[in-house]
Amino acid sequence: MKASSGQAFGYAAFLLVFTAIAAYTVANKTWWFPPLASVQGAEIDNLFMITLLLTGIVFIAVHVVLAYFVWRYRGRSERKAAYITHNTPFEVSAAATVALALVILVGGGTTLWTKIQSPPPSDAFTVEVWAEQFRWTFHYPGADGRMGNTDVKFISDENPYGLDPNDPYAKDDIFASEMHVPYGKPIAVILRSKDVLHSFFLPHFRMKMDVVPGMKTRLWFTPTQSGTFEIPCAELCGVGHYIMRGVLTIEPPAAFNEWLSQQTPVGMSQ
Amino acid sequence: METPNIAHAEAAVEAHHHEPQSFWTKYVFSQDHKVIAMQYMITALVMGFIGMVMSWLFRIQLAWPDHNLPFLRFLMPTNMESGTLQTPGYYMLVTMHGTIMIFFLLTAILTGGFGNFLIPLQVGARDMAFPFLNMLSYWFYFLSCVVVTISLFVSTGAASGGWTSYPPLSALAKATPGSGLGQDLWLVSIALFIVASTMGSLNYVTTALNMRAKGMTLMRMPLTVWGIIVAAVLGLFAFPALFAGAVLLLLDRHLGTSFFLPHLVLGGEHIVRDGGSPLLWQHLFWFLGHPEVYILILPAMGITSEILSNGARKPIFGYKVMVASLVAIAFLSFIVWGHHMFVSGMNPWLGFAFVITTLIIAIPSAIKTFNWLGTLWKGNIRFTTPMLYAIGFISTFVTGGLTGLFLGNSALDIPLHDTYFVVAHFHVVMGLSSVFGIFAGIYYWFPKMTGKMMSERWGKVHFWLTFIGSYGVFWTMHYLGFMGMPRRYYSYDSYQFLPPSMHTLQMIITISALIVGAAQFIFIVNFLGSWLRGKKAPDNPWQANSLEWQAPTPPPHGNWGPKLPEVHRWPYDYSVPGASADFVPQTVPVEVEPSGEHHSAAVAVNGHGHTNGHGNGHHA
Amino acid sequence: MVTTLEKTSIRRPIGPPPHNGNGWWWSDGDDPQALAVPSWKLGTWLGLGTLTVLFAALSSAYVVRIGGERLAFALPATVWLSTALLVANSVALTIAQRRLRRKDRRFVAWLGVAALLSIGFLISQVATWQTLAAQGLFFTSNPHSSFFYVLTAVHAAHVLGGLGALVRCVYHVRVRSSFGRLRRALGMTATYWHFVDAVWLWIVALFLWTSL
Repeated sequence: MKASSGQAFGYAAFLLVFTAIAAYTVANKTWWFPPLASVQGAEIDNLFMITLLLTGIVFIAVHVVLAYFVWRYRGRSERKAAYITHNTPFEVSAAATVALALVILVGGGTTLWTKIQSPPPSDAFTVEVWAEQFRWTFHYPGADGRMGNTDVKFISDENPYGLDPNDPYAKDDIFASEMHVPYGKPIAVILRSKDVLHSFFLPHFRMKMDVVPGMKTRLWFTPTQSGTFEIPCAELCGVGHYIMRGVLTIEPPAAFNEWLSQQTPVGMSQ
Repeated sequence: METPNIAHAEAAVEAHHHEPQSFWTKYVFSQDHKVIAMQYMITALVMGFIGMVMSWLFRIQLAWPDHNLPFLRFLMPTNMESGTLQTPGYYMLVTMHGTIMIFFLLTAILTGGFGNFLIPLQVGARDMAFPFLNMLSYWFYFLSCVVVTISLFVSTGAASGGWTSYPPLSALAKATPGSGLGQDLWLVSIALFIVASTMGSLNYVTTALNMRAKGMTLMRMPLTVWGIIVAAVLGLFAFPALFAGAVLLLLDRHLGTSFFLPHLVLGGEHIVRDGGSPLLWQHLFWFLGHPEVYILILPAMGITSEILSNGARKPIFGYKVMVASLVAIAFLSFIVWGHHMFVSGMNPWLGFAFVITTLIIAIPSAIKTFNWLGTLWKGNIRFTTPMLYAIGFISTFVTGGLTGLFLGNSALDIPLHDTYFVVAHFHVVMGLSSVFGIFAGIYYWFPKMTGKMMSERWGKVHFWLTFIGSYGVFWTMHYLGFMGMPRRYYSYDSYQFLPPSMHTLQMIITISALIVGAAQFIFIVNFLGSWLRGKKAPDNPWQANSLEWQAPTPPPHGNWGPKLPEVHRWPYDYSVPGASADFVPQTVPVEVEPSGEHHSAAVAVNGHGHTNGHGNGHHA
Repeated sequence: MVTTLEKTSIRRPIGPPPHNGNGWWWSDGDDPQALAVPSWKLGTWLGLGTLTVLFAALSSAYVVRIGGERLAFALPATVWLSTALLVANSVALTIAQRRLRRKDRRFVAWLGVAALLSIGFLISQVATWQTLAAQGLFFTSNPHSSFFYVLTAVHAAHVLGGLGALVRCVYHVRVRSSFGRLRRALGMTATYWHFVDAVWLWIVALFLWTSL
């Protein structure tokens, strides 16, 4: 059975070559995550590496075994297959091994999830983010240091982000088209949408949260680096989804205050 | 009444049997499960072809954003004016590619095509339990295909809010071009599809449970039947949620209700609704959506198990565990939908529960994988085209399944959600794997369906191009996911965080996709050419055990001649020690089968199954 | 053997198989592999399972959507009339089934009673909607009224389907179908109607619960 050997060899060879390329490019981090820039991101990356290790072992093992079986048990007319129907101890122990690995993943995952979803620390710097087709706008408190209430129902041409006209704190609030935050503090973000679903994605900080009209969603993180980062929208929001790009600048507090003072308040006084 | 039993049965057969006479009742409004199966299969393949062409167009855009290919206008008359795909067209293609592939190709072909053809033949019935309902199922499906195809040609464009149709984008005509008439037709066609699928599923489950031939106990059914009926049960209990969602979304769109819509401001205009929740749609959608992906994979698992055992000439490893894990996966699939919503704004503590239920699915999935490997172990593998695809299924299922462990873990899902990593994951695990199951099944059962053999040579060329090309497409996508590339982007030019090497990756993906696409033409030519002038197929070309191979080729109306087959053993008696051939069909009585010196041992093996009615010969 | 099969041209019966789910060609009766439930019953129950999920999905959407907010209006009194009519309808169908089992031709009269009761229900249902509309509670007024209209309208559509099933039973009587066929048709119809009536009770209970 010559054809059979050819197919068996080709199959085994392809599986091994594919596995080798896959394993090498991943282990070598040839194409990898953007540089890490947050405390939470580091923990996510750790869990990612643990998961990668466990799944990588299974991935390589299954493909190597599959390649070996395909070659070793290729059909030959003089051979006959073994009559084996099952092997309960093998299946039980295989299932138990998988369950054990899952305990590690579930344990690590839920612990980390709890941490990430816990309320932000009290010293966090809070920014309210408004999403709309197809741009981000960032809401800061004015000189009084408190952010005014906003609601979609107050939105008008003169009041594009729905500041509450009855809220005294709203008078001097600032809206900016770029996000700036001071370095050295956890950053808390409150997400609001005017129109459809959006998703606030910070690839470098390993953070993402959908922006849902009618709801306030939240996320917080602790930057470990200053610099300028991009904010892509990660939930399909219409034809301009791909150009809904925001910019986040993390800078020393002095520079941040300097920037904030240059922004003109667009509160209700207008 | 006085006549002996068998004569009575034959008289009953003759009295009740009626071959449809006219062209219309024979080929169009046929109630014969085999004709309906072919109708389903061919319609689904045509739809799948449309879905594939759509993917070429948007893949070309992603690899060469500055392309200028006026000749593509014959594929895409609008939104291609200057020879460049335009943004609204891109989003329509992406949306309709997903919709068509998931519902109109994969769901339809696996349950409507394979389910219809295989269930009666593999359980030894003459037809479905409700043939009229079965015919109705196909015609509702056909109607849904017509509606979704018409939606491609409406002036405001087809639906373009993604296959998940999340409101408010899909609820307001002003939100995006496709949310006009196109979205209405999308919802109507999905509703029709759900009706079709429900009618079909009722039939598949009832037939398999109630119309089995004598001796065909549940634990002697081929795994194909198990996979399909478990998927059908999923369909019965999951699809109504999407039906309810579609009704509510249509009301939000046209009657001003506020199920999914809160007060919002779109393009400067207030749309005053009373506190509806976009998340409600996501819950309804994914309550269907997650079982749906298992509707696509479970039948493919069944087909793969069947073909692996046949190709390895060896019993399927751990039959009972295979059945149990199908059922376990199906059960779990109803309580994991929230893993699509970890970062949707859903209460994070719900995410906790969904992490646990989701990762538990890995256990039955891993068991299945080990059992497939166990089936190949010490086998005598024949590298037929169906077998090549079945082995490929193991690889893609493992690859795609493992990446699910990242996405199912909520903390890891945060950076990966809605990136190309997700696109890669679901394409490999439920796109590729189920397509591999489908191809394996088509090559395997084509002889029984048409009476002709498909070309093995071209089948192998088709396989290798598809297998290698598919990994070229979808393995590569994982890297884009690592980079944080969001999905559903028309162009990535304005982002600096993506390294320039992503262009190379995009080109590798597109070129691979075009190669895979070209390979499908080989399949089409092979399929049609073999049907027209292929080699005549023997009754049992793969030397298989299950009942359909004991029927004439192609099976006549009523399948079995005057007498129904009688089943004496499980369908996986390959390479039974002492048997003269390396396969023993299910219809062979236990007493007469073995010959040679191992006679007594073989009788013991199969006698066990015979006496207790669970003829799976479980003796290691 | 195949040729004799192909030559026969006697019409096979339309409708579900006669008994025991063995298929209509193979009718020697006692196939050990079939379930004890006949196919038509199994099919009916599976179909009702699907409809259960449909109503469960709408109901849970309602509960999630209102998020604990109380029902803002009182259920019109006609709701109770509707409830009584549907309970009576279930009773009438049960009597019809009993009569048929005893081969009593008067079961047809009870089918008529059931049909009248369900038409009465539809009239009462329209009256309920009109009462609400008169109070200014329209389809879009608030989530409670929206869901009330949706749930009752989807339910009313199923009542119409049930009327169709009753008509089908009467048709079987008129064309003098066999006893077995009649029993089957009535059995399916009655099972379906009990389900539709139970869904009504569920809808009423749901809105009573949200008004607590």
